[in-house]
Amino acid sequence: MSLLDLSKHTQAIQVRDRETAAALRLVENAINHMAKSSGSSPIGEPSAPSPIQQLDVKVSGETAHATITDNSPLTRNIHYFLEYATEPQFLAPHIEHLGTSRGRIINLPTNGDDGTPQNYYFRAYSQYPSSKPSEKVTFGQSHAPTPVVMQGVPTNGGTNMTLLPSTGSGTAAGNGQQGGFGFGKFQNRPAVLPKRSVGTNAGR
Amino acid sequence: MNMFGGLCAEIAPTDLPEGASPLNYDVDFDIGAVYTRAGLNPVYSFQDLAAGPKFAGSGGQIPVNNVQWTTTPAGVDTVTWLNGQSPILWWNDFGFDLPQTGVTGIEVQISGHYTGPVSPECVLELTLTTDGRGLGIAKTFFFQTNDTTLTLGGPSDTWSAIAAVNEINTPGFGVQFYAISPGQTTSLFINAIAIRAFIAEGLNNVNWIKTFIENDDSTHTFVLDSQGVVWEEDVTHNPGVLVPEITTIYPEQFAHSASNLNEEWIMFSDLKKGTNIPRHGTNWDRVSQVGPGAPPSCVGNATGTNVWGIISITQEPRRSDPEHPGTFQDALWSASPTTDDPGNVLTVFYASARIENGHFVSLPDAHLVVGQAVNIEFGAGTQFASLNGTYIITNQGFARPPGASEDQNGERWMFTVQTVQTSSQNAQAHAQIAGTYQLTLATITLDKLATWQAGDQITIQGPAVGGWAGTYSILKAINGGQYQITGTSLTNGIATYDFTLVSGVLPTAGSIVTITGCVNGPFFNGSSIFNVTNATVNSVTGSSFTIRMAGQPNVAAAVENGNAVELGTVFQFDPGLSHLGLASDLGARPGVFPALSGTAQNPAGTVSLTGGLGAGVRQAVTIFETRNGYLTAPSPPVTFGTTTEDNSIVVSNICIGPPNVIARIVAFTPANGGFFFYIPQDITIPNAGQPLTYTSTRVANNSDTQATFTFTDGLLMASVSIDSPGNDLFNQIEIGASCWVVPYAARNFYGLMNNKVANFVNTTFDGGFLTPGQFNYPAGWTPEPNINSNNGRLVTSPVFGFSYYIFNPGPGTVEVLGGMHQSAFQDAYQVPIIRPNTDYSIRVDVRTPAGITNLGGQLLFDLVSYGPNPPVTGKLFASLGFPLSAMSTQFQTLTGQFLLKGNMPLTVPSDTILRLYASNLPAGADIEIDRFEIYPTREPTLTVDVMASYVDNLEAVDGVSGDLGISVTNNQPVIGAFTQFDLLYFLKTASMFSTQDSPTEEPALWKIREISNKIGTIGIHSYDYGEEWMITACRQGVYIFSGREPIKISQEIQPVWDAINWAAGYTIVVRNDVASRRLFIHVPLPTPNPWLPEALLNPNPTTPNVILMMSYKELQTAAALEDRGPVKVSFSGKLISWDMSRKWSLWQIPSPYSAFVRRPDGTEQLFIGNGRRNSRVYQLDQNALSDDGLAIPGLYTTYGFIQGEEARQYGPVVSMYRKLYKYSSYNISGAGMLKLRALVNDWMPTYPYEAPGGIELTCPGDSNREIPFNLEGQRLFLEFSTNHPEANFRLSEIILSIAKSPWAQVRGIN
Repeated sequence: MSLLDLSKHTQAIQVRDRETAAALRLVENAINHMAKSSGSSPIGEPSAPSPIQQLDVKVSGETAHATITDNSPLTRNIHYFLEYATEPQFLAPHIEHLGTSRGRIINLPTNGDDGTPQNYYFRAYSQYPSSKPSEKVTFGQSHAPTPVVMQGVPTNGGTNMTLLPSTGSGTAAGNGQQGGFGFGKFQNRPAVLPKRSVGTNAGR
Repeated sequence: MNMFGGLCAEIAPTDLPEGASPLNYDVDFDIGAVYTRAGLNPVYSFQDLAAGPKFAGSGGQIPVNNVQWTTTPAGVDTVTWLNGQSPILWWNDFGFDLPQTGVTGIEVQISGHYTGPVSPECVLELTLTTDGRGLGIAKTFFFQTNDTTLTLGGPSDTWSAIAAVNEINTPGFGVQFYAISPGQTTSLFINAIAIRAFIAEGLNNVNWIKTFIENDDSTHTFVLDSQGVVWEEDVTHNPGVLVPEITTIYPEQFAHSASNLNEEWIMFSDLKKGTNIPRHGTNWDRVSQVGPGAPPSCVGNATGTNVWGIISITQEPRRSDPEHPGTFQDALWSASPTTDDPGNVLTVFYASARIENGHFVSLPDAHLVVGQAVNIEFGAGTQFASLNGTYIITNQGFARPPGASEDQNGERWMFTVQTVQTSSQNAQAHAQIAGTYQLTLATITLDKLATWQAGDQITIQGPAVGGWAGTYSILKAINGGQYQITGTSLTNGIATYDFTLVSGVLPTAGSIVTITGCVNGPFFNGSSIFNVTNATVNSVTGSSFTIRMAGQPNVAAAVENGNAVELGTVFQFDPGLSHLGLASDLGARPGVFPALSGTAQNPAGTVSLTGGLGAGVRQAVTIFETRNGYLTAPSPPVTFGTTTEDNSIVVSNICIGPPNVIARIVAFTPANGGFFFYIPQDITIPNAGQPLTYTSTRVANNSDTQATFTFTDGLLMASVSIDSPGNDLFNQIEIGASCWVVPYAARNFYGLMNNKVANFVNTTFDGGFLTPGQFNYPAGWTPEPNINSNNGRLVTSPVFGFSYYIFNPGPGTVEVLGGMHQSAFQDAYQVPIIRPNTDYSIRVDVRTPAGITNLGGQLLFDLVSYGPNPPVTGKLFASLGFPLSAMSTQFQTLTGQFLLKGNMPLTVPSDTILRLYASNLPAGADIEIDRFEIYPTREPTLTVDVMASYVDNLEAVDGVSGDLGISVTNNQPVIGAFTQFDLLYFLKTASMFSTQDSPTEEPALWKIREISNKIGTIGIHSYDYGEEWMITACRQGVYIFSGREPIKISQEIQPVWDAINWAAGYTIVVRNDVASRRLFIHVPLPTPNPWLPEALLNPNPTTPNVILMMSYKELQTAAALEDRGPVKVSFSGKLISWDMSRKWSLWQIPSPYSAFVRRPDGTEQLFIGNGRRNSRVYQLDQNALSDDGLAIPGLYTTYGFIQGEEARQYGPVVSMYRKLYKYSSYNISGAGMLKLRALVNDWMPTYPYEAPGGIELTCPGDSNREIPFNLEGQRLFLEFSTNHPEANFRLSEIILSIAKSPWAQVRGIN
């Protein structure tokens, strides 16, 4: 995490104006304290956290319990994200922001709209508010995620509901196709433009 | 007086205090002294400047009397003949790229010897034709019997009729050689031949100089002359020698560059707009370039079904010593195969490697492959039985086990594996030991044909032996294969396909093939008849096979770029450690699985391709990767679909790029996805069996046009994104020619860039082509069907990349040639291209290599909408022709108005096209277009836009997020930029702004702050730096900026500043020498003028002809420089001068440019480019008494002795009125004759007094020089000057005897 360092300037200023130098030191300390407390960086971007070690998922009925094991060194305000999709490629996953918690109990429908049982695939990662997200860890093997099947009430076969398309999270695209972004990988998300929107500068 | 100040033009000469000067030029200052400025010495000698030695790229021979030259394995050309002339040997294509400065001589070095009784007379001739025909420009010589190297010609030897530069630069230039024997058998041996060309110095100005220091401290100097040649000096290894580096810059251009990421980045301009392509790196490639002009073609590799029945899975048999089946020669469990020290290496010596009767008694097992698995089984009860199991082979070959015979009988074939435990000492059988081994490599046979290829992933499901269930990678197709179709034809119902093997095995008669991508012949249902599915091969001959196509018409042979896949049924894979066995092993070996066996009707299980490619709509684009690592903008996209049955994507029509492209990348979207990714390298994922391998989507060459990629969408999305902020290739632009570049925050910032319509496709023709081996139409362009499209093709451009070449071979003038077009309506993303209500112009870089310019003909650009019945109802919106009469054999930029906005409807017709063709081209005439750009007429240059690259990716400029629009308060052009205090400052013509790196944001979001709304800079070279301060020259004056407001430091010479020819103010150059504390400002100053009354007539200079030099010695800070003008008012209110102050002098050195250049000793010297058209670069040398032979006209004029306050101070001795100047004494030294003038009352009197005979100066001066005057007046200016090539002076003290006028202190009249 890069901190604000005004020492070069405050030393020079102190020769002429001790009060101003002292005030700048206070501002510098306050900004750095605030950055540390919030898990952000006043200069640039903090490093992404180390990957979590493990993701476990347990199912009973239409309730799934996902827990994250993370033994990495951390600073305060670490955030965790849980993602699930109905296909193993996580093309447009649904994102659960766990906050600073490492576990979440979620309810999912057993079947799609047509009554066909759905497979769910899970993955998770961590992120500081202004960092890039960590590497994602999948429930199962990374190249072959383990499908999870909800166990709806046997008498009626479980809930039928195909989930709506994901709309992503943070500064990721609104079509849900940028999974694994958490808060976002970029500070700003520009307005959606056609690709190759670089045209002529005529008429400006 | 011992204080000598600089020029102070703003105060009337008669009012100047002691120490200030009303007039001086070509002098320099010390504290307490003034002296003639340093002379100019040339830095580089152009004498004997040579290109080469260069060696031949090709050659040949002309036999005589059936005698021929032959080449030995060592590469020596030799011939033996009896009498008369030997056969002729010739060499050419020496690869010269000489500048147009001319050639002074040619030197040929030839090495060889002869054998025979008499040395034959050897003849060497220059040639200019590719057939080796001599020009008759010959030299004769004689070889010796031992190898010698002879040198013919030299730096000034023109060989009687020297060839022109253009001819030497052609491949045809070379030499031919033969010898004449005096009638006896003679042999000649030629080892090598090389040519050097000596280059003329040229008559050019030097417009730009720059030092480039590599990371390893290797230093280079680049010099651009007005001829358009960039020269390079290797300062580290060969200082003082200039070698031509880039010869394709247009004449009379300038440059601005930056060193960044260990490369030099050079922008070429006329100082107001970019003129030549920007270049960088060791290859001087273009900074950024267009991407592929056309998308790839993609199809999912579907087989119709992806499930097959398994007939069988078999594995290699168990093996042992062939001489003693069931045993091994020996076994060793130790540290290595040749020691019995304890270790974990188990070595199986499976056969003897001894030789009998010249042959090995047993051959090594060719199936053993390091990295694959092997099962080892020692006999029950043997000492190694506990190690039985399956291992990965770690080594294989032959070795001699410890204790074995020392001769070759002791050597044995062996392989090793690694055990878990470590052995004890001497764990060795020392004899035959019972045992067998078996490799795990498996062969699977399917119940029906498949198109599997090496690398395909398969999944076995429901096998009869459950352990085989799993996912594996195919290693090899035993039958079946993939082929590239290179040509097709059809005769009498038999279609013939020419092919090359891509993978697998060759087809045979009866093979089942599926063919796609052919375009020859008639089309049915949108596809060529040569595209067939599951057709049976009729016959195979060499590299062709045939298929019966009864009833089809004959089709002539044509080149193809198709793809064929032969279906197969037998494939190999390696299941790894846990899958091994034979049918008999079922239950015998725990943990291993015996082979499967089934039938077509009753398979032993099923197998499917492991696709991973989800079903859905996808897009793909092609990207060029250059040798600099730059990834271009993508091609337009192609949309296609994949199904759940697809496991790979077969891609064809991958654009072939210009010569600097080393690889192509195909990027895909995931199924139904909108973001593009590519996989930069193969990905291997550990698996229970063998690892799973997925292919990179990078084609690591610039030749293949087809590839098959296997991946999963999960892997794709985890790879490299190409449309993310900070790496959005879709927003990347090919930057236009720019005027300046400045590095900041690991980026490059480009300014004053040429504007253009960015979404026309491939108007530089560097976007490649599609058909390998055929230069035809540039990708993205379509042959124009409504006009003649013949005789146009791509050629390699001498400037960069490709150019488009139209040639009329005759006979007669042809009305239209080389026509092609592209849409002008919308690009691939529905973004409008030509916009209504906008005027457009074209700039085109073009030449006519044949030089036929006087017979008519032109290059035409049209904007046309054909409507429904082309071309009858076509509507021509715009047409612009560039006549051949305006072209030459060298490239130049031509511009013209193209579209007037009133001619285009407010709704641009959707079929509007841009077409290009040659019109009325005479026979033999040609046109070569390197590039063209269409731009809005009102904004040819992006004056307020500064374009920033991505971080550490300096060619990649995002046209959206990298665009800093510096138009906060005005639309003045951004002339330059500099960094100071970690901030980036932008200089406009009359204002200054700053911004700061924001690491998480792209530059378009950086905040722009105003620094000054009055002060900027006038030209791209009119600012320079000090120690954390900056000096800039603008219309108002010279300003220093140290972080606060800009402070003027030139007020004392404001009249001079105002006299500058400001129409050419953009040519001003500012250079600050922090070491010697001098500022140099090159200005175009009309002469003569009051400050240079003797200068040559030059009333309208368009390039700097004078340097305003300001000495600021002992002014160590910016604040001191700001405060220390030449005069000030003392505490008592008296106007005084002070020595440690700014001191100006006008130096008469015409020079378009100067720079501080690092020398071999590490110092930085001011190098001054000449403005006298002599191609020289000069260095200031205090020991030089002349400017390269020309006199330095140094002159210094004192203030008028003495001012009223001084006179009052001396009271009764010196009158406040008229004075008598009686005698003078000077501490002056130097060389040559000094002219001393005493100027009474006025600095330019009508009748000046000149010391008779002048003063002969010596150095050092012996004693003060004394001159009597006896002059009367109110004041007396003293003027010292030298003006001879061997003269200079240094003046440090003046003593003047002054008294009241003894005759009349007042004149008594007005």
